[in-house]
Formats: sequence, structure tokens, C-alpha cells
Amino acid sequence: MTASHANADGPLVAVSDVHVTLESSAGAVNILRGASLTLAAGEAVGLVGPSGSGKSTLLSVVAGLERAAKGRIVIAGHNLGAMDEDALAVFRRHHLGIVFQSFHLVPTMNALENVAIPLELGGARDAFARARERLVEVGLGHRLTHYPAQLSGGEQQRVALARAFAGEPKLVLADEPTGNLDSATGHAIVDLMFRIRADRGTTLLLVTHDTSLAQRCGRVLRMDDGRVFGAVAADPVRAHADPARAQGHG
Amino acid sequence: MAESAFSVGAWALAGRFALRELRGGLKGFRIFLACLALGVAAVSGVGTLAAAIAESLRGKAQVLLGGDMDIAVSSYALDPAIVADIGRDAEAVAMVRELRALAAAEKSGRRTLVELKAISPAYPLFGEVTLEPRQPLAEALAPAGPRYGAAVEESLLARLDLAIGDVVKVGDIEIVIRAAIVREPDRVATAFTFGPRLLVADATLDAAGLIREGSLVRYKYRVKLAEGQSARRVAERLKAAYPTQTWQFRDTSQAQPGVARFVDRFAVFLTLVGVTALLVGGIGVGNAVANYLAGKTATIAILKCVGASGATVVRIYFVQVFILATLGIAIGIALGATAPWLANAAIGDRLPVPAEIGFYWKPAALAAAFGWLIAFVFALWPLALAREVPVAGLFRHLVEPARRWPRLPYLIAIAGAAAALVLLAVFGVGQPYLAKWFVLGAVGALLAFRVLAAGVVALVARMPRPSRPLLRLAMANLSRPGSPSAAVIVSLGAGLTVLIAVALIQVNLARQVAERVPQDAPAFFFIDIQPDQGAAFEAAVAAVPGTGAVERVPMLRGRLTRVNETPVEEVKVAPEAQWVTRNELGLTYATVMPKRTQLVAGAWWAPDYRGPPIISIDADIARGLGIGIGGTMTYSVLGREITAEVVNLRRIDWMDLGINFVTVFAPGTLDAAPHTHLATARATPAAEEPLFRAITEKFPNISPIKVRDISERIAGFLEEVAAGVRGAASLAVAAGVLVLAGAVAAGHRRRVYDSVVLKVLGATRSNLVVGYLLEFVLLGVVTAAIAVVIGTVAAYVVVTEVMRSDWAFAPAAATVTAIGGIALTALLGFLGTWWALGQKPARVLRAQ
Repeated sequence: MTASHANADGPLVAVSDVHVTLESSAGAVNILRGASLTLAAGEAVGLVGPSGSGKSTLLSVVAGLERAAKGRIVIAGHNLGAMDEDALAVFRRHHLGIVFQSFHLVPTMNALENVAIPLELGGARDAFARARERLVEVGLGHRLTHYPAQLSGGEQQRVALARAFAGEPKLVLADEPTGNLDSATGHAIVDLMFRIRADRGTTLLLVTHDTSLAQRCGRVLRMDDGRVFGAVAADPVRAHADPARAQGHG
Repeated sequence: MAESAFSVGAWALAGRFALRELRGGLKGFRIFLACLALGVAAVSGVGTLAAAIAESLRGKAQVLLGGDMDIAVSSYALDPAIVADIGRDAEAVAMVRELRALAAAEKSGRRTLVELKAISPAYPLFGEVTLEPRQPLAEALAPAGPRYGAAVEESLLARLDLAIGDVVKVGDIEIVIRAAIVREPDRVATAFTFGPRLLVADATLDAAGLIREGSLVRYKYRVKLAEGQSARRVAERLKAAYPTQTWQFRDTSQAQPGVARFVDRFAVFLTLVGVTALLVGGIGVGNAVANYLAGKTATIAILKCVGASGATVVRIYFVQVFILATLGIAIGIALGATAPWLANAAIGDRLPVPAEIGFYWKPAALAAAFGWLIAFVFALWPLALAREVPVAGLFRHLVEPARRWPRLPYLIAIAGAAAALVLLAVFGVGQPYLAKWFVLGAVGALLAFRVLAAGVVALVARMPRPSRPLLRLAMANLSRPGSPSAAVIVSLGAGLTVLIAVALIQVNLARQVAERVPQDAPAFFFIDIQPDQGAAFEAAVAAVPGTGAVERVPMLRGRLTRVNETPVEEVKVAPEAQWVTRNELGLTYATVMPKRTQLVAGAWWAPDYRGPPIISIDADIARGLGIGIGGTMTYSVLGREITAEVVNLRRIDWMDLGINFVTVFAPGTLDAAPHTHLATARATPAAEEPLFRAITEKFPNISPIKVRDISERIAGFLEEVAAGVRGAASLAVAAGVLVLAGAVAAGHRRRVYDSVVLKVLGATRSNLVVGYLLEFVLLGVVTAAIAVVIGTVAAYVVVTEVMRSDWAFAPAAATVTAIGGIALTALLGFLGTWWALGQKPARVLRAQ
């Protein structure tokens, strides 16, 4: 299945046999135990699984924010394991956009400045012009100088989307992007995200508990106990999800 | 994009981000700003005031010197031919004669010693004597009928219960007080004078009959140089023309060398105490930055997530801290710049000269450099840890704990900045020797404090918990993980330590001056006793009931000119002996060894010695001058040079205030020179006044100096110096208070939560009040106890090693300061926590 998505230049994301262990006050916790994942360029993949299964950690590993104790992570031809912290930061600037459940905007910067951050860090001279375009694209052309505290949750997530796509990254990682939004707003945000992704041909890795949301991806993978299992249909997801969440997909 | 630490673009970007971050306001930085502003104000204020006084001394040099040059001679007037010769290079020459004399009020009969100054008509060459009521000086001093005129210092009027127009008797004549002196241009305020000023005309002094052979009179010839002449050239010409003449030349660069030296030294000392305040403030700066960054972890993680490198993050917050530090420093410098103005307004009468209002960039730059370095040293640690903020926290709660130590390059930078700070303190403040010991002392004390504080906190943590829950809570709050107790103890304690050390040093010195000395010290010194009055004087003293032994010795004044035939200016003299080469010295001759001295080398001469000049000198001074037995010293006495061989060395106990001389001649050399006698007399306190009256009534030319007055003046001077140091040390305490305030503010959320939980569990408000009070009293007790220990050690070292004096612990002085510290800690800590008590449990718990 995975092979069918690989293009001639190889996959955009190739994670193989990744192990992550964290030291906590309660002792060592094995969060990832040999997780593997491959994404072809332009592909949208949903990642589902119960709480604590390692979804967010896998996202951190792919973003180069977490070091794997073992395994290999190659993104857009870059072997993340061989890069130091600063090289990883520069890599994120140019290749990655991230959308969080809690938006994570910088409270002291207005919408325009928040979107411009990755562009400014990348040294783009037209950072603000491009940031303005992105905000207009997400429908916030009239809210450029508003601060996060002056924006609704949905608006904040639109700013976060604009920021994630601002540098025209090859890969966008989204961690429960609708988790803090009401359902109507969540739908609107997801529509927007998928539209922009489609326009740009951006590869998307989407972590969610929401199977219907996951279903909008071309492929859905399931995580359990620190490992990634192959493509799943709605049913296996439901099998591992808690009953309350599964009901929505009945 | 490759990033270099020195890339302009990277710093510009960091600057942009930092400015955006600062839009959040200065809320988290109030303590930071206050700590820096306070410390910088202390350092720059002291430096600015010293510079303003120095500037004033420089600007008024001609006026303070009384001329372009001053030629001083002791005990006799210059030959009129020499004065005429001086006049060749001068536009004008004014003669001033100064001596101590006794003034007796005609009406009240009260008497007091005055500093009499007789002036020739040309005086003052520069500046103006201001009188009240306003009148020309010559008019005020002119004789009218049988009486002469004088202008006097205001304090003489009070002391003798006089009014303008009243009469005082001085020597053989009566003088009408015509005016009070508002300003005497060539006088600086000094702590040590023997009495108020009495200003008279030349002829008045001559008529008074006070100047007799050997009288202690200082003759000063003030010269207003002719166009194109220089003081140095004139001095050289005169020295060459009159090689045997002994005189002292000063030009405007040495207008008030003693005052300038004192101001300089005291300023260095106060600056170093100010640096202590800044160091303590540094702890507050570090805490404030750490607390601020703790609230910024999410932003830092976001920035790292969207591609900011660790170095970029550190740069952003570094720029922010730099901007805020600069703001704090600017506030401090602005406050410090008001020091001359404040000092003129508040303690103007105690300054040697009014401070010259103006901006002095040197002390401002020094204070700014201290401010930046201290901000850097203390802020860089938390800044460096900011780059270690785990980004994964944005995705999930379980994250690995971040590093607790900065990376090596940052540690090297911190160490480098600390080294620069030490170098700045040692070489930037002046007097590297003093500064070096200060730095060693400060670093040692801070380390000792840190270790003791950590030890006490660890001990509290390990102590069995008491059964009383409130005491248990207080102890737990002191020793819980992450408790700021150690930082608070160090910062509050540092200022408290200085205060305790100053109090103990002052008590020890005051005891030397005021307690130990008078028990076996004479009640009076009498100067200017003519040799033929000796027997009558002793009889007059003996006739007053309650008086004791009289000691009387001959005395002349002389200046040391050569040591072992080398001109004294070329001799390398140890600092403790320099006063001997700078000043005119009292000289005496004796057949037997003076009392209270101990022969440490050589032998005393035979009572009937008659031979070439030989002398006995003080052993410490001999060491300072690098001279031993067999060496020679040349003194200029009354215009004659006398070279004498050192035949023995004595150790002198100067502290008993008896008569003693560095140099004692054997008989046969000085006997024939015109001289007077100096005497001391013991008297019970009740006999002091009758003795004063008896002697001054019978011998108007003899000037009595009350030892009690001198010791009181010394004690007063010590008190003023100590007040200055206490003032500077109080700023260190204030910085400590700021650190405490910062710690209380930072712990506020936790304290609100604690108080709410305890309320839920049944604690009343009064329970909580007692609990919090207990906590801060405990903190205060620990701080004060450590401060007493370190302050006592510091005072002991200063008293015994630096001042070479006896040491006695003064529990009262230490206790008062310690209790003050405990009360301050408890009060401020408690006030800071008061608000936590008023929180409604339900609302707080819902918000958790």
C-alpha cells in the first residue's frame, strides 16, 4: 500500500522502526516502540488511535522536535537523525508547517506578525506581504492587526493555518486541529485546510480522534501502543476508539 | 540560512521580535527595573556627588587657595625683602596669619577657643567675604576708638551668647563684633576645627599681643600672579634664590589636597558599598528574568516549532533583557544625577564645598557598565536555559525535564562577564588595593551566605516535622523544592551584613574614642605657653581643686626635608608614614625618655648629653621611611636646617592622647631656638570648667583645648562617616527587600492555592496569618543569624587587621540591626501574602 504512494524520487516522509523512551518521575516510559510510517509527496494521511498511543510523539519526531532513541527519519531527503538542533530548526522553517489543537499563537504578536514569523526567520524580505496574502486567503484580511486575545477560537485557528502554510512547506503536520473548536467552526477550518493543501499540493499528516475527519484523508493509519498499523477503514478505528467517540461514525 | 552569533541580520530580527514581546508591558519586569535602577543610582549617585565636589574644588581652586599660589611659613614672618621679591612676579600679595586664640565675651564672661585669622588689606585676592549685616570687609574690621572690629562665624555668637555689636576680649584688646561671616571664600567645611572663626585686620592681631616668640602661628602669603607668570616658575625661582628658606608652595592644582583626598577615598568606599547593592539587585534581576521566562515557555516552544533556532530564542530574550536593563540603568543614572542637588539641599552644610550641579558622564558610564555587567552575569543563566525549553510540551504533557545547567559557551560567557565585573571593580573605581579586598570580601561573603543559606534550608527540610500544623507549613514553605528561600536569605542578608559590620566597627571605634581614652587621658591640652610662664602655669593648675598631674614639654614645629640626605620628595614612603612627610610636625627635646613609650632599638641618651644633633623616632614611622639607627633625618626648623642622627627607636601608644612626638631631639640642639611649651593637665569633669577659667583669666595668650571636645568631634565625625556608609548599605538592604518582594510575587499563585486548600481543610484566616507570619519570621531569623555571623567576622577583620585596634563584640549593636532585619522580612513577606488570604476557595478551585 505504502509503496504505491511512493513517487519516483522516493517518499516525502520515511519513518522506520522509531523508538522513543522518556524519563519521567515515575520511571522510563516507552512511548514509541518501533513506529514506521511513509508518506508520498502530496499525500494526506490521517493518524488515529487512542490517547497515549504515541500519535503526538510521532508527530514530534517527524517535526524534528523529539529525538528518537532508535530508528531512522527521512523527510524530503533530509535524515533528521543526522541533524543538530539548529539544523532541525532551519529544516522546519523551510519544509514544515504545524497546526496545533490549542492554536499556539504568540500572544504579544498580532495576526500578521504571527503569520510572518517563519518567513522572517527564513530571512524573507517580503515576509509581511506574503503573510498578508495568506491571511486574506483564510478570510482574515480585516483582522490583520488583531491580537490573539481579540480573536475567536476559529479565527485563531485560521491564523495558525495561515502560519503553517505561509512558507509554502512541503509537509504540514496537524495535531487535533479541531479539538478546541465547536463542530461548525471545526468543519469550516478543516475545509479551509484541505482546500489550501489541495491548491498547493502539500503533504498532510493529520492526527485526530475524529474518524470522520480522518476519513477526509486519502489514507488513514492507526496507532496503538507506540506502533503504526497499516491503513484502516472506519471500523477498526471504531474498534479501538472509546464508545462515545465511535458513535459518531456509526 | 546559516546563523552567526555576530550576524547583524540575526540580531536585527531578534530585536524586532523582542520589541513585539515587550508589548506585553513591563509587568514582569518591575522588580528587575527597580533592582537595576536602585543599584545603578547608588553607584552613579556616589560617583556623581564626588565628581561634583571635585569639580567644585577645581572650579573654585583660585578662590579656595586664596590666590594663584600660596606660600606658607610656620611660626615666623618672611623677611620683608623676600616678600618684596615675591611681589616682583605678582599683581598683588595678601598676608594671612592663622592661630588659635581665646576669646572672652565681655558681657557673659564666657570664653572659648577661636580660630583667629588676621588679614592684610589685599585679602581676599579672589572671591568675596560675605557678611551679615552686609558691609564692606575693611569697614567691619576697622578700629573705632580704642576698640577693634571683627567678623565672626555664626556659631561663636551662640557659644558666647553674643549679638552683633557686643565686645569680646582677645589677648590684650577688646574687639567689637561687627558682623557674622556668611561666606569665607578660602575656607572649606572640615570636621576638625578647634573653634569658630574670628576674622580681624592685621593691626588688630599685632595689638592683641598674642604673637610671642615661638607662638604657633601660620603665615600664608597669597599671591595673585602677574600676567604671564606661572606658579611653578615663581616657586622655582624663589627656591633657587633662597635655598635655606623653609616654606611650602601650593598652586591651584593643590587647593585643598586633604579634602580632595578624603572625598576621593570616601567616594571609592561608598561606591563599593553601592556595588554591593547592585550585586544584591543582581539576584533580583536573575530571579525576575527566570520568572518571566518561566511564563514564556509556550511562546518559546512556538517560536522553536516554527523554525527559530535555540540561539535565536536566546538572542530574542537577550535583546529584551538588554533593552530593559538599559531602561533600568537609565532610570538609575537619572536618579544618581540628582545626587549633587539632593546633597546640597540635605547636607549642604556638611559638604566641604557645595557640589557643582551638572551631569558627570564618567560616574554615569561606570555605573552603567556595572549595571550591564551585573544584568548580564545574573540574567544570562536563565536566558541560556530558555533555549532548553522542551517543544514537545506543545503536543503533550509528559516531557523530559529540561537541562538545569546552561551549555558550555554560555557558562564561559557568564564566567567572562563575572571576570569583567571583578576587573571593573578593581580598576574602574580607583584604589585597586581597597577594591581588591572588597571584591574578595564580597565574593567570599556571598559564597559563604549561599552555602550557609542552602545548608540551613536543607537542615530545615531534614528536621523532624513539628506536630503543630502551622509551624509544619511554615517549615515546609521554607524548604520545599524550588523555594526562593536561599536567594532571599542571600540578598536580604548581604545588606544586613554590611549594616551589622558597620554598626560593630563604629561601636568599637567609638569605644576607643569615647570610653577607653578619657579614663587615663588628660582633660586639656594647653598650647602657646611661654617658657617663662611654665612654673606659674603649673601653680595655677595645681591651685584648682580636682586637677591632677601636669605634663609640660617644649615644642617647636618643623618640616622633614631629607631622609638619609635624600630629599624627602624622592624617598619612597609607605602609606602609613606619608603624613609625616606631608605635614609640619611637632618637635621636642627631652633629657629622659617620654612616658608611655617603649624603647625597641638603640639606647636612650645621657641626661647631660651635649654633642652633635641626635634624635629618637617612632619605630613604625622609621620603618615607613626606610630609616634605621645610624640614619639621618633633616628638619627645617624656623628657617634653619638641622640634620640629626637616629640613635634609638620607640614604640608609642598614640591612643592614650597624652603628649608624644614622632621625633624627640636630645638636649643641646633646639633648646636655644625660640619655642613655646605644650602641656596637658588632668582634671575631674567637675574641675574642667574652673580650670579653663583659671588658666584663661590668668594667661590670655595660652590656648586650652578640651580633650572631651576633640573626642566628641571625632565621635561626631565617625558618626557622619558611618551615616554615609549606612546610607549606602541601606540601599543594599532595599535591593534585598526588592528580591524578597519579587519572590513573594512569583510565589503568589502557589500561595493562593495553598491558602484555599487549607481553608477547605478547615483553617481559619487567623490560622493562615499565624502560619505565614511564622514562615517569614523563620526566614528573617535565619537571614539575621547568618548576617550576624558574617557581619561580625567582617567587622572583626576590619577592626583588628585593618585598623589594628582591640576588638570587643557588641551584642546590642548587632542585635538591634538583626531584629530590624527580622521585623522587615516578616512585615514585607506578610504584607505580600495578605492578599492570598482573601481568596474565595470555590472560585480558585474552579479555575484550577
